[in-house]
Amino acid sequence: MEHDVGHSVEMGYSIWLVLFPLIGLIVNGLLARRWPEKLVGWFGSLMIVGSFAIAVALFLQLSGLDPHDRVVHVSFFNWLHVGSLQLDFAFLIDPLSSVMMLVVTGISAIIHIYSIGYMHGDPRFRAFFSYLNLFVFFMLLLVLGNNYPIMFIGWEGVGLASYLLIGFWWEDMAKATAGMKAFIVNRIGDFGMLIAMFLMFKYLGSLNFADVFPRAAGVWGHSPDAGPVIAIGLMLLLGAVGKSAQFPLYVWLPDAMAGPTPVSALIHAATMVTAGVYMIARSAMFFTLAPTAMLIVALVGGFTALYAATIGIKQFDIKKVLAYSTVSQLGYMVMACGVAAFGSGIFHLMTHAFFKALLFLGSGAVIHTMHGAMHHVNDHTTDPQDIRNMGGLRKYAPVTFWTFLIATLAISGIPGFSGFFSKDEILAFSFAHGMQGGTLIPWIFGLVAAAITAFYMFRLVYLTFYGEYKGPEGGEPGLKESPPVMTVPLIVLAVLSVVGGYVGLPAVLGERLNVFKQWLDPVFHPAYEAARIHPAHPTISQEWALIGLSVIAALIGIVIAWNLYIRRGKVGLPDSAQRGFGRVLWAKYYVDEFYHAVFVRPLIGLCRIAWRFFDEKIVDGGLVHGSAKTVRWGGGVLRQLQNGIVGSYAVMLVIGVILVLLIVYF
Amino acid sequence: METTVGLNHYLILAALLFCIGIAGVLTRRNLLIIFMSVELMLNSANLTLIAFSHYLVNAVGMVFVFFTMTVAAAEVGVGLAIVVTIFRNIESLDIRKLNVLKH
Amino acid sequence: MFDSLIADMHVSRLIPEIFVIGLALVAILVDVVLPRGRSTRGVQITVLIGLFAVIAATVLGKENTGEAFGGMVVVDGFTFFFRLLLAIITFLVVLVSEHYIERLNIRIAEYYLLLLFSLFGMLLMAMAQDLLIVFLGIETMSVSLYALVGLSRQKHTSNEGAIKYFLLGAFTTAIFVYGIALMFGVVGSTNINDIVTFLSGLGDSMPLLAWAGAGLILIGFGFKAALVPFHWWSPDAYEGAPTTITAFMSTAPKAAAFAAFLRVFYIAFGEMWGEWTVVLWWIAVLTMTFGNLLALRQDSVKRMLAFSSITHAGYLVIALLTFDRIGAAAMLFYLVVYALMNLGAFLIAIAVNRDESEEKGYWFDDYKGLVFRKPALALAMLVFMLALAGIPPTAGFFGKYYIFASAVNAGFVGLAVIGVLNSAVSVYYYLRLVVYMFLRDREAREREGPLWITDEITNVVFLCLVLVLLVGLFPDALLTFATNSVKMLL
Repeated sequence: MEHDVGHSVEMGYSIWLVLFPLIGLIVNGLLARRWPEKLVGWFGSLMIVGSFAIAVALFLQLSGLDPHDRVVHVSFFNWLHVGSLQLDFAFLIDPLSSVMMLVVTGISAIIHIYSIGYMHGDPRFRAFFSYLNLFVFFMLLLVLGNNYPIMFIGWEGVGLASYLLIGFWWEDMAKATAGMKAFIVNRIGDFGMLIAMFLMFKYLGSLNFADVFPRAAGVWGHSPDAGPVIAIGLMLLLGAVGKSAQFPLYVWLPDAMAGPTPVSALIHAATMVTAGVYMIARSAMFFTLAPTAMLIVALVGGFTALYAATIGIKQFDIKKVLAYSTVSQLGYMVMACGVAAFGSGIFHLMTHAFFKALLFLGSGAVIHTMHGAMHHVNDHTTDPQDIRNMGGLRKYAPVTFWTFLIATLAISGIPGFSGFFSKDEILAFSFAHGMQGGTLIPWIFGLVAAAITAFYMFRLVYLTFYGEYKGPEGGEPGLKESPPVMTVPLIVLAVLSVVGGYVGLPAVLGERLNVFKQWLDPVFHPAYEAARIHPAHPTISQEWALIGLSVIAALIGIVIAWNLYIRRGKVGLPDSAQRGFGRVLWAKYYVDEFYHAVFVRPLIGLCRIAWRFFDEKIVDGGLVHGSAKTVRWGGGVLRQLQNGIVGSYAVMLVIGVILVLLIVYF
Repeated sequence: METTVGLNHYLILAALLFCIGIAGVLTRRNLLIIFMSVELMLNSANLTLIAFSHYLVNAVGMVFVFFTMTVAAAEVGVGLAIVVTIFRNIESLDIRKLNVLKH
Repeated sequence: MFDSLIADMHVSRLIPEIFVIGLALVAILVDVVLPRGRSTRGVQITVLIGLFAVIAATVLGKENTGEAFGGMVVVDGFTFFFRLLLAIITFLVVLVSEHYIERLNIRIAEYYLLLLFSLFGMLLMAMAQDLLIVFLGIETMSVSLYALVGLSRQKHTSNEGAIKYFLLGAFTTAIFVYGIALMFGVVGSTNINDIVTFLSGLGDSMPLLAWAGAGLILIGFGFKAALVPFHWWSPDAYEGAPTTITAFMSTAPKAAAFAAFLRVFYIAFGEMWGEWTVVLWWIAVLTMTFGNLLALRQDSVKRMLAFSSITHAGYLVIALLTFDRIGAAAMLFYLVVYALMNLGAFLIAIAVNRDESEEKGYWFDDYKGLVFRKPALALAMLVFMLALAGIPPTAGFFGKYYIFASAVNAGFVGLAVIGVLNSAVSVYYYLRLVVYMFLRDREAREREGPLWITDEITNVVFLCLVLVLLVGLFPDALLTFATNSVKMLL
């Protein structure tokens, strides 16, 4: 094993990455009862800034090493040493985890600071910051752990933090239910993770990254697509589908918008939901060894990208639009992994973290501004998140507008902005992968989704910031720009949303210029090597053509949006006026209703059957209460199994005895 | 053909007693009668033990029966106490009336 | 002569058990000597000190292993594990009981005596090497429990739970003894080592009576461990019993039943194991699913926990049927974890319950707004619920993880899948309680009564909380202990 490659490297201080948030959690959660709000907020934020500083230091130290030595295992203590299960509590610091920890701590720090302004005056301010710190703690465990169990603990932990934060304002039942929905849907994904871990342990005898990947290469390297490795791949995919909100388990993410906006920005856009992508990239070995599983990954990702984008067209809640766009962008990342372009997936993960966090924080600022107008006229009924009530906000909140516009350009893939570089890279690789003998379907999905994305994002911008103000009458004087503690983070993120892409310039400008790719490549190299595949590269002329195509797609989307909402001045129709396919989109393809009918209702029904039939019927009747009731047995008047009557319990017990004896006998 | 009483006769008798006991538990409503039926089942088990003990010439079965009898006596003590408490509370020994806890 | 007889019996190996019985006798004396008002307090303190001595004797006598009483019982690592677990659970329950029985108006010393007797029975079950001792252990435990369940004599629910438990228990005892009788008829002995020697000599020609006998014995264990379809008594008895007793019954006797079950079936009927896996497979599936489905729709937290304890027994059966060391170790690990989280959850339920004179009580509605009224308590309940649902970083996660991993390892992948799905369903009703704690409406505010928190409850809940988290973060030590404890079994 290459455990001790980094023996000469002292990175023990990396424990502070997780200790800082933990201290923040303990102090804010338990000790800081009497602290003023400002102190609580700044203390919590400072801890995350501390983590960020450590992450930067680790990154610098790592980049100082020879590219082949950039795999450092830092073991803190023996965690589980039982039988053949040998696990340390240890971090794996390599190019992949260093990117993740920079993104996680960096975005978290910005959003913590933003929250000081956004959550101002909330009676549970302190709880909010402790939950946020709790989240960062688990998220860092997730990306830093050097074995699957630690990753899984982080995985579940972020789910818990998300659950607590979605339902943060749970005085009303709808929000509490949204939190629960997220948690339970995620359990389906976790189930996949667990089974994958069991299978790994059974076939490979370990759960350490450093052990399982080489062993998998040894066991399955010569027989790709073996049954167990496909099973592991698909189970890991199930985990990612749950956590990263892919089709068909994406339903929890739009509901999760019930939480405070900084939470949506941090957890449900920039970091937690990308954990699935990180996990797939980390487990690249299992996917390259199982091309079938990988094909399914590509199709799931591509389909999700397109599918969620179409729903985004017809949503009116500003946060719902962004939620579906997050689902769609996550689809791109998963799709990238499915075409063996793991590095591009992580690249898009990073740029998306910048511009999507910016979009959410911007939407928070918009909502804040709208609240101002509503306060001004004492209006408590208008929905401040409905874009049909907005319009013309450009004049009142210029900083919010400009930063929001930059993020929109980035997500739409306009050249020069970060999203362009990463999305283009994914599309280029998926095209090349298709040409190399795979299928072009994911690429087509991705391209169409790019056009739709540009359309619905510009629709959002036009309806929100352009045209006439359509909110509560007389509310205009209440419209104000948000305070600096909120706008400064917007500006920082806007800068990142532009420059963040320049670390990964496309190959047409020179192969050597893609620093990001070179940084990550050593991580995925063993996976390619084991399966003897070479990630397909488009030729230079193909790449120019692809760039042209995706830019045209984006421009088509923008022009259509401009034509509809600026030139023809259309505004959103009220809910009741939605017709035809538009109504299907508005109703999100009726998937929630479908799930309710197919899964939820039958489960409730099953309970009822268990209750009525086992519980209420079967027994009672004649066997218990003598012959008079035997007649009624036939009439179907039966009672419950757990009906509280000793006699029927005894009957059931005897039936159990007979069953056991029969099974034994046969 | 001459018939003698052998091991099988005892075993069949015991099995029959056991079934009668079960039937009693299942069909009766009176607490005390159910109770007696359970004792019948226990004694059929004792009978089986003794029959085996005799035919295997092995005292372990008989010793076991002493223990079951003692235990049964203790059980009766506690059981009757519960029955008495119930009778005080609801003035009935009908098990169907004990139906607050369910579902 | 007499001395050598004593030496042959190896009485010294049974010191903890002798202490328990001696302690019960001393406690009776204390009750008689002290004046009426103060006697239960005195008895409680005596019992606590005595149990401490029992635990100390267990630890000090750790090396003194081997058979005793001519092979009727055996003291080994497995026994040691359960002695500690059972004695500690009893200690904690006794600790929180005094104020609670005062609240229930059942302040009698017999409460503690019965707990001690049932502890004695459970200790016998954990060390039994002869079906006679298993039987005696089960009965000593059960008879005491029948009385404990019915201790709130004025309450109909308590009476009802007791009589249901008693009648069905006596009924199953008869079945159990009949099973032993049949087995005795085949083998000519009730010692589990003799049974395995005899049965393995038979090879494939296993007589039907042996199968029937073993089947009936399995049913006896199934009843005590509350496995579907032999669980009928348990929700009603759990709900009717005073809640400290419910907490006790759902942890210690269940552990003891599984201990005896494991030893008897792994050793005596190991030869027939292939067939038992089929039976146990179905029992495991039914137990998990049935408990879950009924727990989903309870309005009473106490009854929800009762059904959830059935579900957890189902997980334990999965570990049992792997028939290997990994599974057995997973089972022991889970028993400890389960005891901790369940005890914690029940104690909080006691604290939140508004009115003990109400027949049922323990409503979900009482939890509304608990987060705002008593955040620390709500946080603890959150952790216990997460642990019961098997979510990291709590001990419950590792408990389930080891069980399902052992099942996959032994080739029962389907069973593991059903188990994981069941635990996913269970999240629903555990989290439902959490949601209630966060909700607060006007109606709930009007309902709010004072919380009933004693120092003892605070301390024990805190202890359970710390242990649940600690084992969740560092499961290593406990798992090693469990693995070492099952070494001699296979």
